[in-house]
Amino acid sequence: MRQVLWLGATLILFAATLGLTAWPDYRDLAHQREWNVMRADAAEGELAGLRVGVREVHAAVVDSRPDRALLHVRFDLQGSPVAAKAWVDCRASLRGEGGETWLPLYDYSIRSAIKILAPDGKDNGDCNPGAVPETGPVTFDQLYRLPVSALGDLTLHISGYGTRPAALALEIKPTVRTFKSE
Amino acid sequence: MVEDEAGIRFYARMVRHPLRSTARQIRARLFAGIGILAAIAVAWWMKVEDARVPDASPQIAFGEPVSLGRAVFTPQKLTVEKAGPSATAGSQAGRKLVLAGQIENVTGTSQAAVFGQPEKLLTLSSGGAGFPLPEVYLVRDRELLGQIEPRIREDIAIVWNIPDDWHEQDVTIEFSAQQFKLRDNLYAKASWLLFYPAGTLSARPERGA
Amino acid sequence: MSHLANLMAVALGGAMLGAMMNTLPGYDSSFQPFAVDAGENGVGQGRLFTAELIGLRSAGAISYERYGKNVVRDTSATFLVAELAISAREESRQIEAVWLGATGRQYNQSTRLENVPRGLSQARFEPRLTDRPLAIFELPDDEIVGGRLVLMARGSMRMDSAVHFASPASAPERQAMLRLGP
Repeated sequence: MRQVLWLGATLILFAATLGLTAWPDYRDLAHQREWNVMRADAAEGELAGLRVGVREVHAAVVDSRPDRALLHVRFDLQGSPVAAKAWVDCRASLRGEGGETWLPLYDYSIRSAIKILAPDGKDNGDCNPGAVPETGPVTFDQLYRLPVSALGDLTLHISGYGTRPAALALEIKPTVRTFKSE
Repeated sequence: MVEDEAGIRFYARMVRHPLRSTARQIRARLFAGIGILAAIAVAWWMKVEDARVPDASPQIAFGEPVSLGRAVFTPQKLTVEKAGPSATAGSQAGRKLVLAGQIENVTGTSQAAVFGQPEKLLTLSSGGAGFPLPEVYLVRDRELLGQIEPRIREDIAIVWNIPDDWHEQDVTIEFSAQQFKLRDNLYAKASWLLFYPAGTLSARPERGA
Repeated sequence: MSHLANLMAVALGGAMLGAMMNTLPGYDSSFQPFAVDAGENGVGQGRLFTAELIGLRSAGAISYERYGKNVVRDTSATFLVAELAISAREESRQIEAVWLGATGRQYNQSTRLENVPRGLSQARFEPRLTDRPLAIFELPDDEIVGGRLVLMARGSMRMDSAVHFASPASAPERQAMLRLGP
């Protein structure tokens, strides 16, 4: 009987040690992964005090390479600067139906394509919650490179370091424009 | 059980009556003394060997290879030039002190950090003037050196901007090599450790083209 | 007799410990990516990307155009140009290439040619899109036959998968000058 009690105590202490040492690593992992994805009904949603709205989505296809498209996404963030500070950073990605993830293009040279694709020809810069002002929304532009076959079923996932593992999923319905290659 | 007892009794007897005769006692003590002295001498000599640092690094002449740890550099010419070797990189105004030579990567992988990681470039001293850190150019491309591949020898030029108060005089260049250890003390993995002086080049720069 | 048995036991233990210590795999040999060999058709399925080796070319000099200027790179050894078809799996990713030469030396992509059009070091690959980048190495001729091309995802863990392609049976014909266009 005594052995069983000792075994029980060992198991309990082992579980406690495991939990204590794993807890900080689990917290770190939770800040990196998007486990709770909340779907928004329309093109707008709210996450951790900031309101995210997708304003424009344009896809450009060059007829010499008809299988790939360059997608321009314009969205804005609105909320109190306190909530924006809690977000810390902004991670946006596009998800396809098969679970694929497309990350925005960060290359400085390709960002000039945003000026061509945007209807007003302006590039508002990449997502940055630190730029959210007290009054009104702030707009951001992003560029993605995707296959044309994925354009029909896209979701924009947005989250910040402070909001993860919760993330927001917004429906994306791009309008496609075909360009002639010179 | 009887055998154990016999064995234990043998050792017990050894403890109580170690040696029977005086000659054996003297011989045993002599051997022990020699052993202790030998151990002390060997330990002391090992310490001396470890701490021994060569007084001066070897003098390098032009054409002699000097080890830089990851690469072997053979200096060929030291000149004072009016402009750097590149049309695009670096500040071009002012005189430059150019050490031209060949470099060969002697490791098994491509090296981006030829002068060590963290980098320790050649130190140049001449007449007390403060020389800035040099830039390393690949002569073939006339651009800054990016990476050296193993078994390919390349001509490089190491360029110092000459400060205004320097006039033509003898120049001393010190080379440092980074030490490589196949199994280091922490993880038993191959790593590059501290720098040691590998050579000194003393020369008078010629007038360049 | 028991002295001898004791001595034998100690010697045997010492020998076993010595054997274990000397045959312990070192840190460097343990922390290696695990190799995924490309199939017969030249297509390798890594964990994070799918890659195919289209062909190998070799040249003594390479020229390309950058910002309107003609750039020429020559070498005393050989430039090996590997043409690949790569598609990411699951997430957008960058890929690195390494040539394991016939003598066992490892050659990274040449940094002198990192700005070449369609260069592998500047490209990023998206899921469901196949791109055809070029990986260029500068190496002596005898490293080509018997050497292998290895692709790894950039930023992945040290012990992730690396796609190993088959070694070429014969060296590609060496051109004097290779012109690379977009």
